[in-house]
Amino acid sequence: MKTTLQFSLFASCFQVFGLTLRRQFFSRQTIVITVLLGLSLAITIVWLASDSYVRAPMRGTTTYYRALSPETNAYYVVGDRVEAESVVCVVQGRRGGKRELKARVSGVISEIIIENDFKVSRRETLVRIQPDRTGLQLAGKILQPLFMGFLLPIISLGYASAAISGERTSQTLVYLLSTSIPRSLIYFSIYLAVLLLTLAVTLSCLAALCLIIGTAGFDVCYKYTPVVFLATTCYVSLFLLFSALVRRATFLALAYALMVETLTANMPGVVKSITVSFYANSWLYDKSLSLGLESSIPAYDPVGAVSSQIILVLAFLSFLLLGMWIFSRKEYD
Amino acid sequence: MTLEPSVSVSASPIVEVKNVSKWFGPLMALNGISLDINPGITGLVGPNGAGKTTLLRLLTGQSKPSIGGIRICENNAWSAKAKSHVGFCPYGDAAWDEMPGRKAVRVSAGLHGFKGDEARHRTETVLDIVGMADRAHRPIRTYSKGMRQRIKLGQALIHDPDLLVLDEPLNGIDPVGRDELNELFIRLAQDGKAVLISSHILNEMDQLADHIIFVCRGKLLASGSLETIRDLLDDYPLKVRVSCETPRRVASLLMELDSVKSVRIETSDDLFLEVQNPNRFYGEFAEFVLSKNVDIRGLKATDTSAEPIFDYLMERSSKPG
Repeated sequence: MKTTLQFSLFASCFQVFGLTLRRQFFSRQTIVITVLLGLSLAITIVWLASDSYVRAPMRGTTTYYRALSPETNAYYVVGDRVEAESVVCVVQGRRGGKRELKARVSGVISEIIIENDFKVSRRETLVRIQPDRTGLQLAGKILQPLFMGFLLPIISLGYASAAISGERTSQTLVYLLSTSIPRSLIYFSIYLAVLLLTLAVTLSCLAALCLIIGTAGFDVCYKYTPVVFLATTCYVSLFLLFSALVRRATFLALAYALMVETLTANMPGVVKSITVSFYANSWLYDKSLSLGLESSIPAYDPVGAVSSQIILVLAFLSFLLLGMWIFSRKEYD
Repeated sequence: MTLEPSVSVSASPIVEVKNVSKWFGPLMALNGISLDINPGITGLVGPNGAGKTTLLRLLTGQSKPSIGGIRICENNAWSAKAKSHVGFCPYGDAAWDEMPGRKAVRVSAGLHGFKGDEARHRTETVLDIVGMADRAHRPIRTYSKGMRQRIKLGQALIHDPDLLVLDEPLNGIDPVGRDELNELFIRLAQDGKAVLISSHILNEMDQLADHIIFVCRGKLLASGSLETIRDLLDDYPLKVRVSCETPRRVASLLMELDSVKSVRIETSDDLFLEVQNPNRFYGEFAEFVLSKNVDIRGLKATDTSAEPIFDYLMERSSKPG
């Protein structure tokens, strides 16, 4: 049968792509995600501005030393740099016992609240230190728990799990399904649209969080980008698969994110190897070794960078293909 | 203004349904249905829950038959290829609410693979056909039911399909809008399209359809031209309430009419008749009132809804022969 229609499959798919992109961007998810990003930025700023304090462990008399020998008699003053191991102050008890107080963070002494040779009571605040904020600390304290553990899955979940089930709920999926685009291509176009949107949001979130500490964040941002890219791709294909499977996909995806990704990913043993975040963290761990980040990443016996990349790529491909297969056979009402 | 037909009309029917059954778990929604649909208006009539929507969803490739096969212009209805021949106007008023009507039609054009000028041209043509060209700039959420229906119809017509499937298009639309839509359906049928319209109200299809398909409880009860269906309905028993001053006398006189099957005196001035072949009864009754000079205050058919008609057809179809 000869058709005179100037039928173009690519144009159809592009229309599905554009429609999905538009629908997902102008949706409640975007508002929720903006609020969450704002909160995360606020947390980061609070973290940046928070100072560290040295407190007296017991009653006694304060002595500040620049060096550990009392003979030099050089005291720390405001503006001095201290390292984590530096002994900022010695408190001498009334019965002659001495306690050395370490700074615990590296940074700059911003205030000496109790001067030298004063009597202090227990738990009294002696010194305020403004800690250095390095990319390393940012990665350990903010990016790892807040971004990788929470924002990234939530953003992917918000956009991907609502993509198909949202169309189903509003009963507009039928308009896509009554076109002559093969169903697997409809799914693929939706996937690309959601992926593009999610990547744009996650990567700009990452950039915003990194650049808030200034130029020190560049290196971290650079190291995190490929990991975030692949992890987002993987999450989106997983959550879109949920969306193709059930009507209330967001609940399922939330349950998955809380139970599997958050809970089991932090458990020792083999259970965690079913989570996306484990492989993302393993890869990060491998990268951050060069940053000297060993202590900040809570990954237990991580797999190597190459194998985690291979697993992530395989996972995202199989989720995508499974989704296309299911979408092309399932009946939607 | 018409669109060029995309496919040459062949001799074989546009839709061929062969022995199709569909069940959802233990529920049998359709049971061994076979039918053909040709150009012209076909009315798919059945009470709520008869399986109309299930059948339409099968025809438009939204779901697959459990057994049996459906071919649309020689293609399996589920396949992507068949869908280029089908325009589907789904039930209800779900639409892309935030879009203006023109944009929604334009997006549908895009979804069918039309680009640039061609898409714009088709959009305007279709908006003209459905009579929405002047109101298409408003967002769909501000539309009335009839306007939504027109936009949905425009979306379904954008690729000039051979088969147009409409699920209860007249539901909730006022009489004026209904007449306009009916005219539109007739025009589309005259262009050589097969227009399949579902409805749970037989009277809606009375003036409109060339061909009527009755379904009830998942079964095909009857299928044929309007005349065939009318003949079938001639024997349909009707219950009539007659109000009069002297029910006993009227009852005894009415018993003599051929078309009256039974008479029951309900209250002091009400009679209940069961009549065979309503059309003949109304004729005889008019004559009866004139000739016998009886005092009749009122005549009312007690069950005019479609359900008893379907029950009746159902009963008939289960009888042998």
